[in-house]
Amino acid sequence: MRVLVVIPAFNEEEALGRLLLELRHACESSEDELSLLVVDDGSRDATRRIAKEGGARVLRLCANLGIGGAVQSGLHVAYREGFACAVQLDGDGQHPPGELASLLATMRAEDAPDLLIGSRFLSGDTSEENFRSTLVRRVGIGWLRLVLRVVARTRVTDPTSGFRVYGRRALALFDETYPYDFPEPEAIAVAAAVGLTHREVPVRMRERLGGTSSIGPFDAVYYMVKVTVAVVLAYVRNLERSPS
Amino acid sequence: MTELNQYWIFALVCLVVVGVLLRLVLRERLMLQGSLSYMGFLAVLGLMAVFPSLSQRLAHAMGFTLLSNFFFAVAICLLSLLHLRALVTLSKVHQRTVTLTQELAIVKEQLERESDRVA
Repeated sequence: MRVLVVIPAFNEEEALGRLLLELRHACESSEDELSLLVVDDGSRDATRRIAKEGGARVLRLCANLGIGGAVQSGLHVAYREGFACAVQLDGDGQHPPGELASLLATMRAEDAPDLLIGSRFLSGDTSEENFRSTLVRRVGIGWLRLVLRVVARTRVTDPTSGFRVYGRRALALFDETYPYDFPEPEAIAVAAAVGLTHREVPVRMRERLGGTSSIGPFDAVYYMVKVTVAVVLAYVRNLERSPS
Repeated sequence: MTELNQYWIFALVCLVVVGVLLRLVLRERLMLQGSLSYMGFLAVLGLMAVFPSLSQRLAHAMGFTLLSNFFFAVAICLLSLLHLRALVTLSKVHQRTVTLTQELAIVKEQLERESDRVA
């Protein structure tokens, strides 16, 4: 199976080198044919150079589009170049490449979902090794779970997880439309609205390997309001859209 | 100066702003498409100033006791519409910018790979 690993990165020079090294090891041991694509979201540091040195293809956005625009750029490439699926994996190193094997095994199965989400809450692992985010963020995640359950009638334990795999039908959909900022819960609502299948598998996550989060503490309230409204609107707007 | 003359001054101000808008359009610093609605807004305010008795009758018919309140209400409504229109335009421009940025990055990457292959 040809798989494109899409790594959105904005000023990730600290974490990216190590992440790409781990990814190359994962590529060597994988049953699938993995290609690495770093989407440099207009970084001002050495992200691009490190990505090139790390052996990845680099898509350099001339302006900072935010996580949604960066991820969609990678999904465009995956869809147009005929990849069987695309993995989204954060450039800050929070998503261990070692978890790729279990994600891709699910996508190789007969009943593979269109959208596969890596959930840090499914395993029940509450040890420090499995980074489950801060308490405030976990409260927010709980709220988004509820919103998706009520609005999109879909059960997701980790709606903000950016560790996911898109199958061909999901790639076709998100080639056309993808939310811009804070896109993960909204993308689930869009997928549910058009009737794509989704599933979660347990994954471990870890703290970022370097750099700082683009979401500050003061953005939290805006984030929750914006995402809640966006999920409702995205679901309603996409109800009429064809899944293919 | 009578009240009527004061209204004429306001109409004159509207005319000057229309002149500034036209000048910006002529210098291609503003698109006609975007400025027409603004000129329409100024025309409405200018007409209200030129025909204050008509405005007065309209204000009373709509339940305004003071003409100034009527002016404010009309101005706020029209400015809200203009703002909404500007937001729609801004959203379209944003979407196009995102698409263009993505396409540019994809084409540049393809070109770089091609040139690497040739080299």
